[in-house]
Amino acid sequence: RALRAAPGAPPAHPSNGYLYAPLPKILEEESGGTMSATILGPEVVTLGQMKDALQSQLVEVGNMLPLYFPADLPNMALAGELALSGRDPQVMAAAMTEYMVFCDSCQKELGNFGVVYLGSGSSDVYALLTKTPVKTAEDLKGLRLRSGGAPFSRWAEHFGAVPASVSVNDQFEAMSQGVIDGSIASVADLLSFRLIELAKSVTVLPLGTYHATSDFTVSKLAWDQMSVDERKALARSANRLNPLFTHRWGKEMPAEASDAAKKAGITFVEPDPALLQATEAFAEADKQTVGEVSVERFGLADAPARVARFDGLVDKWAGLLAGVTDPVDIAKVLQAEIWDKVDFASYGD
Amino acid sequence: MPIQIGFADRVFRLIALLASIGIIAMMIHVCADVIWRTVSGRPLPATVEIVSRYYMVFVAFLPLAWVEQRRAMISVEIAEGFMTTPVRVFSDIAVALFSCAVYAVMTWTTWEMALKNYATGTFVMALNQQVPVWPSYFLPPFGFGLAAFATALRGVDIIRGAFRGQPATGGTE
Amino acid sequence: MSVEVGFYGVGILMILLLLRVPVALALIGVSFGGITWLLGLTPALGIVSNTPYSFVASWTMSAVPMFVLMGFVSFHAGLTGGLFEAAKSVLARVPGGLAISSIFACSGFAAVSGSSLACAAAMGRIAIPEMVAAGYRPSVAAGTIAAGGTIGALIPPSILMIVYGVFAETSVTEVFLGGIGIGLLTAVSYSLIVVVICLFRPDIIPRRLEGVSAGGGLAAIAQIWPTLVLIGLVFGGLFSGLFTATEAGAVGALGAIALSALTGRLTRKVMRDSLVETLATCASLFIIGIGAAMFTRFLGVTGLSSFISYAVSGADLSYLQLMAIIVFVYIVIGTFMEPFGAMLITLPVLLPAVEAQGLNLVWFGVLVVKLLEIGMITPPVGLNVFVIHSVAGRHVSVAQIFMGVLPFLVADFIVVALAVLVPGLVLFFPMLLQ
Ligand code: NA
Ligand code: NA
Repeated sequence: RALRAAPGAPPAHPSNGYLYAPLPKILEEESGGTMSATILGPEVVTLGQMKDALQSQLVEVGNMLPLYFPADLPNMALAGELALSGRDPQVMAAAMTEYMVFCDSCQKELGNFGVVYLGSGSSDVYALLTKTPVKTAEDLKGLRLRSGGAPFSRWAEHFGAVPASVSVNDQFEAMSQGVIDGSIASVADLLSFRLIELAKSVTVLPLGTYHATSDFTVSKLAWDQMSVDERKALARSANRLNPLFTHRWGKEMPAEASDAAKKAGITFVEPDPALLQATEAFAEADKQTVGEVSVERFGLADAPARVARFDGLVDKWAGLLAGVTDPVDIAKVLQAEIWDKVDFASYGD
Repeated sequence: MPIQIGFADRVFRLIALLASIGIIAMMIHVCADVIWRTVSGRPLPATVEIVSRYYMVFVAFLPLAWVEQRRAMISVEIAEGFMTTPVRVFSDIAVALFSCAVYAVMTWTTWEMALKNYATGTFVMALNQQVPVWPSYFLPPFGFGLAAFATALRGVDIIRGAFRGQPATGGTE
Repeated sequence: MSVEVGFYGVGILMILLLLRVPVALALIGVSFGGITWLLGLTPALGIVSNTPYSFVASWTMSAVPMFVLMGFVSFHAGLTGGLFEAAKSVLARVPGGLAISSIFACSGFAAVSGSSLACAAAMGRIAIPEMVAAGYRPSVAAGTIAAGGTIGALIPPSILMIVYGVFAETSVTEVFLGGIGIGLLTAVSYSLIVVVICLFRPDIIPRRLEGVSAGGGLAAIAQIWPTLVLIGLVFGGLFSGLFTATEAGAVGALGAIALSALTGRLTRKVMRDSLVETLATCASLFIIGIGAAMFTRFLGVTGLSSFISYAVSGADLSYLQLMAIIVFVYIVIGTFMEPFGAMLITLPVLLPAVEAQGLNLVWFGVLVVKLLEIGMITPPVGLNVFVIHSVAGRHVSVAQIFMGVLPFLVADFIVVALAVLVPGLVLFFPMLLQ
């Protein structure tokens, strides 16, 4: 059985080359040759179209970004709001995965959405990519920064910067025109979106991770047609690829971009200790903000308790993954701690 | 021209004119954003989201029926010169029916989608602000539905004209 | 392999278009039928329900109605009339002077618009009536602007080039610089075509403008200040970084309205006609865009890109063989696809082949955008031709505009051949940067 699978992103993005390109081979291995996948590119389904594509079974396994659909997926949106807590991509991806798999209301919202969840990945810790160097909180005042989400906007506003919502397509032009002075983003964006031609400075501040992802989202229509063994094979495949993707997105790509940036003469600014401290303090306080806004915004009455659970899982996985760096080993820990405990006869029903 | 078609024509026109509010609003909103950003250093909140999710959807779907009524839908008329009058009338009827069928399917599917988005109360996040967008999902089925109606009327009009032995007038230009 | 279904789809599309089915509805109908055939009804309904909204609700696309409005207001308020009076008196003795000045006006406009559609829409309303009034054959007048509009995506800013840069992970700035070269080359080659037509067929493009005395231009030049102010406003704001190319349309439209009011030409009729025509143009264009997007999704499902990949990776191809295949692929899919979809389908499979040959990715990007822009004016789905028909349909039919475009396609092929044989022509400006 060949599943129709879609990364939703263009080839340069790691979700295309590192999640989906290897999927057919891995799936064949894990299923003993009974399952495979056909990849549909972004010309068929973009990230914004993934919801309808999965619900209509145009796509059977797809890379979905829940923050495109916050009204449908409140729990994932809440986890996304906690971006500023992110300090390690593999830890965040694992915490996100455990949060979603063992949570009844999460599973219920996924069911209503018509999909089954098989794990998350995460970006590296975001940094500031700017035209002028940012060292102190004073340098941030009045700076117009592209923000990819609410938490980054809250951080920017707290320090007197002006967050701007600019689409990915417009980012390059907006920065070259001076409509924005920089971007709160992964260092990898220097290469992925060619900001290397415009930015002059990178400030490595712990601005958090983008971990509200659902790497392999299975259409419920397809899931219902699968046997328990097929479901297990697909879940094992997904679990092998998730840490590899996070390794690529959260580690290798930023490292390559940093190298290229240094060659291009971009300066890496060490932030002032006061700014670093203020940022850490803001991230800590932001957890409470998230608990409060999520009650109203996402209709989650017990949002503060959910924030606490997520926070606990981040600590748990920081411990479990301490010293584990090889993505293959990380996949083994995830398999044992999460997926081996799942009953695939009833999961996703 | 039969009375009901004249009436429908006026309705289509009126609804299309509603879309011109979308155009004017888009222009003013984008310019206000540019000016405000330059003067105060801060952009107007949610400009991108409102322009793309509301004004653009207004402009694209509301005028459809009126464009159909004016027969301003773009087609390639390479074969037109080779057609005799009866063939042309037959092809006009076929085109009207085909168009009506396509619009009907579009109306139905986009309507289902609008209901789904209404049920979830779909919104997007513009920075730290919530912008509800579910209402704009009702514009495509509305526009397609009217267009289906317009093409159906046109089909009826042509058939009636053919029986009377006169070429149909189509719409008013 | 289901790519056969794609070929049948294209065939059925052609037949529907011949039967005078509106382009948009033919595209939608074939895509719906094709996906139902391949995957079943539910996925097909999924595509039909989702594409209209997701295509239209786009910030980048919002530049199109704004530039169209700017063109219509300028035309109806007579802001641009003076410009052509001035051009006429200056170029009275140049063969085809009016068409040549229109082509260079397109190139100038290209520097403020990010897409060829916006460029063609704004220029079409302004220039075509003037050319027709001066005795040009309407099909050629319309063809000139349909082709001239493609310069809008060649000379920066260019949305297509940004998308290419991101896709190919190559320098957008360098692709932009390469675009200046190929944009100017295109403008010059189009102008030469005008001169050639003019010399051999004065019945199509008149050699001299009648009733224009060389001295009478002074009064006309006094009339052109509103246009100069409008151009200054848009250019100035864009280059000083006040706004982006997407926002430039809205500023230009508001500027045109303000200038009309200042010169006492803003009547209710001007406003109403401009709005009505903008609505008709945008609605009929967007629905074609929706159809083209659905058709792209359908062809994606058929596996067209793996088919193309097979064609370029087969044997050890020489440089010229590879380029011949690539040009052929773009010309063929350019006949019925819109440029963004064509880029998404082709680049993932072509870039590895191009990289394997060690070819320059900046140069390739410029070439790809040029080839995609050729697709904007080839039948049967030529978006620039459609937008010209919407803005100047009173003068010509779609088929006549396609005929009028033909001579310019000859120029395009010469430009493509030059770019392939002498890559230095494209890389001249990017090389200066280094
Ligand atoms: Na341009
Ligand atoms: Na074409």
